[in-house]
Amino acid sequence: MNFKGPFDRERSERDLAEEFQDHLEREFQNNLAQGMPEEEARRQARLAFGSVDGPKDDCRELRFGSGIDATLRDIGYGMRLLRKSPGFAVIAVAILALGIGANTAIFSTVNAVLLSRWPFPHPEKIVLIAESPAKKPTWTRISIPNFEDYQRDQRTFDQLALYLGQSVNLTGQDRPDRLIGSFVSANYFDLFGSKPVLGRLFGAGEDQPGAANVAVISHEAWQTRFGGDPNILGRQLTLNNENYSVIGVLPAGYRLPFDTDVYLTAQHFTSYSRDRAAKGLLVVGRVKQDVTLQQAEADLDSIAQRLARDYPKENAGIRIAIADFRELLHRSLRTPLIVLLSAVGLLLLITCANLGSLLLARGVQRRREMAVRLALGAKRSRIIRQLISETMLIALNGGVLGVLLGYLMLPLLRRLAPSSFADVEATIDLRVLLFSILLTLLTGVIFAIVPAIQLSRVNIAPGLNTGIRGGALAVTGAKARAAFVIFQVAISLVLLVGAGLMIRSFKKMLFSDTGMSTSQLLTMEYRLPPNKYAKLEAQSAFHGELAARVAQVPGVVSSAIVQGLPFSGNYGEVHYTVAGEPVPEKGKEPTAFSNRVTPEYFSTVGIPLLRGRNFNDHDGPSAPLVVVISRSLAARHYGNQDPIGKTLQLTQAEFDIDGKALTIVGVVGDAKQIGIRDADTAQIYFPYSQASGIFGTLVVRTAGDPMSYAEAVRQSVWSLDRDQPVWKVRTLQFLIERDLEDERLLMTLLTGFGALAVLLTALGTYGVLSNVVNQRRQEIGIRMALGAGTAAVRKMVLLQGMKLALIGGVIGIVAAAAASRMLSSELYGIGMLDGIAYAAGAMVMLVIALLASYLPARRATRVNPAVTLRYE
Amino acid sequence: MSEQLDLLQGTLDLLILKTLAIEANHGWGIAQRIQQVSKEILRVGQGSLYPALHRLEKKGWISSDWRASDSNRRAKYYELTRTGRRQLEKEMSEWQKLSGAIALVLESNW
Repeated sequence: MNFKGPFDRERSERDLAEEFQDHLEREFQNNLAQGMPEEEARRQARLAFGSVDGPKDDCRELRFGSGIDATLRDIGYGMRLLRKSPGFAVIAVAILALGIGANTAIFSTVNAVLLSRWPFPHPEKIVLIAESPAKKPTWTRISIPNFEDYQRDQRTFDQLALYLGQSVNLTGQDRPDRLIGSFVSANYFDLFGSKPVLGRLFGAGEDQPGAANVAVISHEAWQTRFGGDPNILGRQLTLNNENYSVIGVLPAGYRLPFDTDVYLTAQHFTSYSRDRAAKGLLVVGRVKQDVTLQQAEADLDSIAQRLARDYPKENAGIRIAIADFRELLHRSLRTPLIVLLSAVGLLLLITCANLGSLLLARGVQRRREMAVRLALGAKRSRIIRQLISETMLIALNGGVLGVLLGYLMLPLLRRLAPSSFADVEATIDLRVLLFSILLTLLTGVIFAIVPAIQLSRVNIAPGLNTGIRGGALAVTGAKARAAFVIFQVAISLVLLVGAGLMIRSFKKMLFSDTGMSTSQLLTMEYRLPPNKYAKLEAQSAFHGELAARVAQVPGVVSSAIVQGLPFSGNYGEVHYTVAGEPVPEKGKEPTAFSNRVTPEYFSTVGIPLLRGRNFNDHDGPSAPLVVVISRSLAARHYGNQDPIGKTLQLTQAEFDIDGKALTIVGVVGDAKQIGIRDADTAQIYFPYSQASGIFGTLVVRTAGDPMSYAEAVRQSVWSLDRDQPVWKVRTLQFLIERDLEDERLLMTLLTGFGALAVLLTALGTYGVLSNVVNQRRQEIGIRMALGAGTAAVRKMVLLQGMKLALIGGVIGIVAAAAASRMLSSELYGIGMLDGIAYAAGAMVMLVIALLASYLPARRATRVNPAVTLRYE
Repeated sequence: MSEQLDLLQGTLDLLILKTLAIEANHGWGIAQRIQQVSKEILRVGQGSLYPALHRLEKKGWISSDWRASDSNRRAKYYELTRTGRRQLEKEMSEWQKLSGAIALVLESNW
């Protein structure tokens, strides 16, 4: 295939023209020679020659048909055509840019936020491994020898590591304590890519029997249990009656499966054994980057089967099952991810529908042009090829613009999004970008070609006819486009309703009754060193005195101490029995939250006292033990009766309150303890003056912005005890909002996509209606000439648009009802079929449809009847 | 117009090659010649003629050059190349084989 340059081509064109001219001339001469008069001769020559274009085309085709040349020419032609109808080009490019760029940007942002919860590289490659005969992932422990075999023979993992959680006893610190421990293999931190913030983490070989006793502690443990000891490295801890040396501290906020305080190496696990029959620990693995989870599972499975053969006694019938370790954690991402992917998908559908509709419309418009060309002898394949290049041109522009838009939108989204997203670095997800581009390209090509293919199958003649009769051919196009608009309206409505549901749900949560007055509350935690404050009196004296001192700080309205601050994640739970009720079975006693407070607590956080009295100075260590209970606890056992004076008992010896009778002296309002979604709010409050505790949360109600008082309050603490650290300084409002993160994320997600969907649909509707107006120009002209007013014409177009919107709306509502099932687990305070959300969504859609229809309607009225009747 | 027999593409090629085997000619001349020799039965429209000529040229069976003709016009003359001549022989023998076979079938009585 030769590449002929432009000069070559020009010359060939001239040659061809000349050749034809010569032919014509000879025919003419021949006719003259046969006796025809000159004019007749010329005419006959022309007739005999026939059309020039067909053969020219064919010859050109033969020479230059395939090749870069032809494509370039097609593109040039395409550009000229597009410039003639800028409206179409602009809308098409806009649709593509939004559908590709904005869509990808929103997806990337939300995805980044979701992924930020797993701050180690490639969390999707980390799996839990179970040995179980049924090949179901039940979390069975794997023996040490088996584990070592897997480790040695596997080919598909970067690392396999051991872990097991178990609490350890901390002694020798003036008071025994229980820490949450994890026993891990030496490479455990390697697997997660963790880095210490102090010291070092475990090294190879430190998990073998006989290795030195070393421990790694969490940042929280360092701060709270060990008071942020600056000499923590090398400090000796007595855990489970053995001495361990602290060699490293992990970074703050580090949360592996369990909120572990201290990590020890596997061989220190109390049931550690090298016997193949003994249960060992749990196994976690990091699959190699380029290996699928299925392949990894098969790899281990084959080793397992070999082990079953080699050690039939210990390993009979074992198989391997692996699962994504993120499944373990409570903060499941499944719903947000599914919603996210669905939303992106729906939006791409809308974009393609939009694009398709637009191209179909244009195809119909150009039917005449194509019909003429076909009649003149152009090859169908040529026309199709040219349509493809035109579409490619639009796609190129749209794609480039889309990519730009996407990158530009990222920082914008960051700014608009709630603060919890602000510290997440989002980059454009290339997979989604590429997929969007390819999908829209494909759609574009298909819908551009359809009119051409349709045309050549049908009798060309109608296509050549003008005006109204040409409309007959347009019918199929019109039906398809109408269907597209309906489709888009329906999808947009689904997204809108979803957004509406989440917004309502979120609002409900935000304003839901926590049972407290949550604004203007500053909080901070502290833990008294037990050796300094060994006795109950010392502890409660500190708490009481601290509350009093802080209350003196200018701007402080009131202050109190509580053990488990609501929404902080701290709480206590107790089993109890009620005097006068039949004693339930052991283990089946009712439970309630338990808490310790100073008397000002209830008023500080705004929990109302409903009955009886608050704690006071008389409730000392030698006075009768008293408690205050929450309203729901009272209702649970006493119904309408007055619980004041009745007694409870705790079933376990807690707080040094050893099964003694506790007298109820007051009933307070219910308050949420763990999170907004708490169903149960039964709580028993103890006074610090009677129930000992070294841990306290300072709660301060301030006149102004709580955080601005932080320093002053800290000073108060230090004025009481120079060496007493405080931490987790934050407001209660912050904690509550943190609780709502998931819902907020979903809400933002759906709102963003919903807005985008609506915008695209509006564009699409506008485009289709404009087209309708264009095509029915003659009809409109006739109507106006016959006396129809502008209002009537406007109404006609508006009705058309609204009809489409209505049908789409109905379908959309039904679809939304079905889709909202996905969200139902996330909703709070409203049902899946919340009327307001649906109504609001439908309203928005209707308004948008109205607006989108209005402009073309107005344009219709500007049609000059005289002009249109003369049109073509 | 009198009846025109639909000429298959390949057959047209054959006719053109044969026409040019005698002497070089220009497009119009080739069409005229075919028309005359076939006693007006075969008329080649330029819609088929010129694409065929260009196709044959692309395949290298004929070559073209511009020669001066009367007045100050140029005319494009085509002539058979050596490969063209060989192609012509091949196609002629095939054509004879084919037409012979068709004749046999048409003349049989069953």
